[in-house]
Amino acid sequence: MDIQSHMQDEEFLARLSGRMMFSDNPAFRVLLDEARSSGAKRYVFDLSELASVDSAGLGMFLIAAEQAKKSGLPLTLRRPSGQVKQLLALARFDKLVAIQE
Amino acid sequence: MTFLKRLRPRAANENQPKDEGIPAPAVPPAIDPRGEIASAPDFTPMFLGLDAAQRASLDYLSGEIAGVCTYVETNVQSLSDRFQGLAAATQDQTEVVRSLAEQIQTVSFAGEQVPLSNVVRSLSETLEDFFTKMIYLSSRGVSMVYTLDDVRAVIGQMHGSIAEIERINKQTNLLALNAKIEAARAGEAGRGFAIVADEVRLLATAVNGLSADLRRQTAQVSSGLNSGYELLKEIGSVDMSESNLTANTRLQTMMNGLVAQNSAVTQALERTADASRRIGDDISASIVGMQFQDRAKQRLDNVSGALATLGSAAGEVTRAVPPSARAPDEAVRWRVAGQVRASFTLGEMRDGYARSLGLDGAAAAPSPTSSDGGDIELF
Repeated sequence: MDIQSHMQDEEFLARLSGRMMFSDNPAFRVLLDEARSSGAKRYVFDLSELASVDSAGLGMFLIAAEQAKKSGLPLTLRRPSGQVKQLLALARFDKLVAIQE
Repeated sequence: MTFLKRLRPRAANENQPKDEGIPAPAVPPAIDPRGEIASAPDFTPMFLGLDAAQRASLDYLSGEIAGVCTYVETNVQSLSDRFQGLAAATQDQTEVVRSLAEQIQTVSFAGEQVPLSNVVRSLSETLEDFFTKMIYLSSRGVSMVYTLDDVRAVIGQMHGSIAEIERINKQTNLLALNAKIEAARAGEAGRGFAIVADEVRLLATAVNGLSADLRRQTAQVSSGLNSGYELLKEIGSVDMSESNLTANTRLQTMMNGLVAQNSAVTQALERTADASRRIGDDISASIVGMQFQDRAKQRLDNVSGALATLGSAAGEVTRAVPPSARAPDEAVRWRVAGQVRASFTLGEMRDGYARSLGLDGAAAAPSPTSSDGGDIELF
């Protein structure tokens, strides 16, 4: 998986692309640390280029959702598609975070 | 007597034009102005012949009516019994279908009836719940990996510390060696100092052993952490490929199909139950309708009564004739009987009538139509 992140107007935006799996956990931890220390008021993960995700990937999204909740900031998963979209729906992520089409 | 009086003028007036089959006397009877027969030829044998044929016919017809009554009654009763049986069976069928329609909508689970739609919803929720829990487990796995990473970082620092201890220890050892050399140079005065230097070297060797132990132990912890990491990777990574998703979608489709099919079957069963109920209603109405037999029997009884009255009236007339003159015209009698017999279109009645009256050749020459409704041969 490839991650590109930047801050803009108090929004921490991360673009995830490729395949997200267990081995991406160190990179994802770094991303979470960056987000935490960015001082952003909201987090957005752009998933439009994310081709697939496994259960560990979904687990990482859950950790991100928990971190956002803990810090009282909103997390949005933007434009998921295909298998990623189906899995997010099946795992009822809409109950945890905002999912933006 | 009264019958006789009334009969006479009518017979005289209407006999000729009406009864073409009965030969009139050669001379037509003259009628006087009062309507009485003035000088009539003797009609008595003719009437007696006619009367004999009529009474025998009436007997036969009464018997026929009674037979028809019994026949209809027996068959209507049997028909009615069968319809009652049919009504009961239809009622049973309606109940069975209705209970089937109710049963098919529920599934027996842990002693209670759960509606199928609830079962499907609950299955769906269970699947969702299972999925959510699996992802929660994955997230805990990843969190654990982060914790292990932190522990590994600490162990890395410990390795650094151990290396520092070893470096310091090496220097201590060198210092002790130098001290011992300097003590030897000092001769007798340095003897005590040499002993201290030896003790310091012994301590340095002990510290060296301890740090080697530490190094080995932290290596073991590192290896344990790596195993844990691999285990967490296995726990946290579940294949979420397209095929797994397709299986889930298929399961959903199957469950929806099951519900739809169940609903269709239920509707069909309800329609069947409704049809059975309507059949039951129709059968009940038919049973009521069969009461016509009662009314028909009463009417036929009345007809029989009237025929009997006619017969006895005719008997009265006959008895009015003096016994010496009671010689019926046999030709008239058999001709009338023959005509009545010919009026029957049903072979069986024709034969029965002939047998009843003793007509010649009745039994010998059965009508070709006598096989029509052979089961009416009750008389």
